[in-house]
Amino acid sequence: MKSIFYTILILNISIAYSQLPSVEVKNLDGKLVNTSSFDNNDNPIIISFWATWCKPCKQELENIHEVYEEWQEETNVKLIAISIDDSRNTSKIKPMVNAKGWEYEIYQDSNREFATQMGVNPIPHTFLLDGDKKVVWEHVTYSDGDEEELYEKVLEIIR
Amino acid sequence: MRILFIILIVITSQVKGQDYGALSGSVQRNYQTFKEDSTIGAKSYPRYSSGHLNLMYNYKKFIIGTRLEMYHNVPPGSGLIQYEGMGIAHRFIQYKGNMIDATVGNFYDEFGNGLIFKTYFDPNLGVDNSINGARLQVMPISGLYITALAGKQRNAWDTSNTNFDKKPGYMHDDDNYLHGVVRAFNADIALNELVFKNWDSNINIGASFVTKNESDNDPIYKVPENVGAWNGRINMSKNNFAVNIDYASKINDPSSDNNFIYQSGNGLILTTNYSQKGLGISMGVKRIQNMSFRSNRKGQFQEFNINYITPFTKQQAYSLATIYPYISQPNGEMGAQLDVYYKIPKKTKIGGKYGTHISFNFSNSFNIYKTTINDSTVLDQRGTLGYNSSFLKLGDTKLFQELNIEISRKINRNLKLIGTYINVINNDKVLVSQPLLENQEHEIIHANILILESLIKLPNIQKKVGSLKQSMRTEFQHLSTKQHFGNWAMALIEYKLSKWFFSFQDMYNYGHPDQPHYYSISSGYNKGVHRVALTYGKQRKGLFCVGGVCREVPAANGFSISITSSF
Repeated sequence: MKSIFYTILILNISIAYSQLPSVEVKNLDGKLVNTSSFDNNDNPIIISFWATWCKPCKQELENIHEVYEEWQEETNVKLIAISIDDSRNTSKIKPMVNAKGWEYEIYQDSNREFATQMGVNPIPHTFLLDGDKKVVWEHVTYSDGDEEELYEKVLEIIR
Repeated sequence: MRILFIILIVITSQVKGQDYGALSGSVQRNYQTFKEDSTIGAKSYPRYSSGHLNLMYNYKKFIIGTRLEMYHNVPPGSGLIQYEGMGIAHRFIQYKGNMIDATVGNFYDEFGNGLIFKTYFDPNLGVDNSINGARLQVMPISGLYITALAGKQRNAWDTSNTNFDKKPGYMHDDDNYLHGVVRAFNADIALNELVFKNWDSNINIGASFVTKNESDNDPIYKVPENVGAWNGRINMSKNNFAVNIDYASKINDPSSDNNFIYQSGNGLILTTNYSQKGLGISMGVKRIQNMSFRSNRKGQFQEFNINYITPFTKQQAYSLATIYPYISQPNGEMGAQLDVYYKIPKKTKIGGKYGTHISFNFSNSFNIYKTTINDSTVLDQRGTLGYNSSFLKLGDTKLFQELNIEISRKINRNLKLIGTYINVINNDKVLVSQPLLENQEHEIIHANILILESLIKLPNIQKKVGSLKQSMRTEFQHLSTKQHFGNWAMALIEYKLSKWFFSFQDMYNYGHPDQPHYYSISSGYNKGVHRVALTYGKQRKGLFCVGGVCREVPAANGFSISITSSF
């Protein structure tokens, strides 16, 4: 039975989602939004799972923030940041985000339903979706400079 | 069971690249060895391994999901003993239409802040209180969401067999088929979408009702077989302001948690926030009275929790800052919290070239005010009402207080510094959560913590083809206290080269009579979503906490391997 874990690891099945899972997440005003409605007019979308207590997640979003305007002008890419904070921190998300001046689309997935359906376990977990909203690249953990690799992948899509 | 997985694997290879749906999932595996080490009180145990595999198959509007769990040689004192074994712990089938969302099997859900209902899974904490039953969610018109559900909660494994292969555990009573059944109803209304379509402010309201049934098997007391709880919520926001009120109430429910008193319960969480570019403020107050809510009145630790009482303190990430955590007190607590986030603008004298971020947090928590119900009973006396309380009056014992100041500044393109000061008061006399030395007693702990973290970007290493990225991170931490185990010093250095990382850390408890060092060295490899890490070193005995829910971890000395992956 234990071998099943290894089998799965070895098989390393990678199947692109035919579409984003359909799950309700909340925007910062408490309004429910269905994840299947995420859209960027056929341009690439970055989905980043983070939390207010996760230092590398904030570091990633902060570093992308510094180059986000540039990225948007060059590629029309949009970043959607999904906070998996639970009720302990939900009221802190908006003040923290605004103080940092992040201009991302931000949603809360407090019971991790969207995260579970996307196969998210440790965070930060970042997905890159192409114009057809298919996951073409994903990555867990973050260290300084990793956003450069992400941006190379974004450039590959629009080429 | 084996066959099911083979089938799933076959399906996945069949559907690869075609339009027959999609399979996704995640795997987590951990191994740990334990050897004896008298300097930190670590004992020798057989090699421990644990893991879970999550699989989800999406086909058109249907989702089928399952989770396999395995825990082997769980070490004593780790709070996970009841999970020893292996089996399918979770399975469901869900239909997700535009207006209707129906699930049969195991599922997780939460209403509002979770004051009366929240089920979730956290393998590291040993929490899995999923409901096994049915759930129907309906959205008849835009802006109105209704949920109805019923089922029994999972509690580790079925204990009737002693084999390694297990089935999930559920409450059972031959004479009462409803024994352990939780039923819940919830409605959320977005008033802007439903009625006030042209308002510039946002108002969302919500209400829930939850009941649990449990046979009265108590030999002494007559206890309610049906316990109901309700919850009302309102969330308003306009421009930069937001207010959130969440109130819950619960009928009397004598249990092991509250020493079998007949007091009813209530809880209030009120938060408000204001933010503009560069400044954010969040404030909140919380009062909880007798709100422990389980589908088994004799449940302990993480068993059978129907609700979730969130702690109202900052969630700490630095290791010395997690030594004295606050633990939610469902029997009674009253506290407040303030957070301020401020960015000193960039290109100013004080803010520097890149700007400086400051975050401030203050929180405290007291017990609730209680008086005896009459002269002949003591407080919390078994089988009585327990106490009288006044809603607005603070108790006389401080349980916890914490002040956090964090300043983070990017010095140049390659260096960022984060400095933190924390002052913490942890009333371990009441919280009783710390390990003790012989002849030591639980006491009020006052501690000051200083932390300096630096993030350093190093130049790329040029190769014939492409280049390798490298970066470094260091942490220096100090905790000073006259109580408990005294002072600590800690240093960490981490180096990343492309997909590899190496780190070394030492936590030195030099205020402790034995002056133990907890050093560890680790290395790992990370490619995309696949990650392997190997650690050798020592782990201190204490609490491992996520979101105010804690599990004990034994002192350990040995190797550990952790593998995570998803697909």
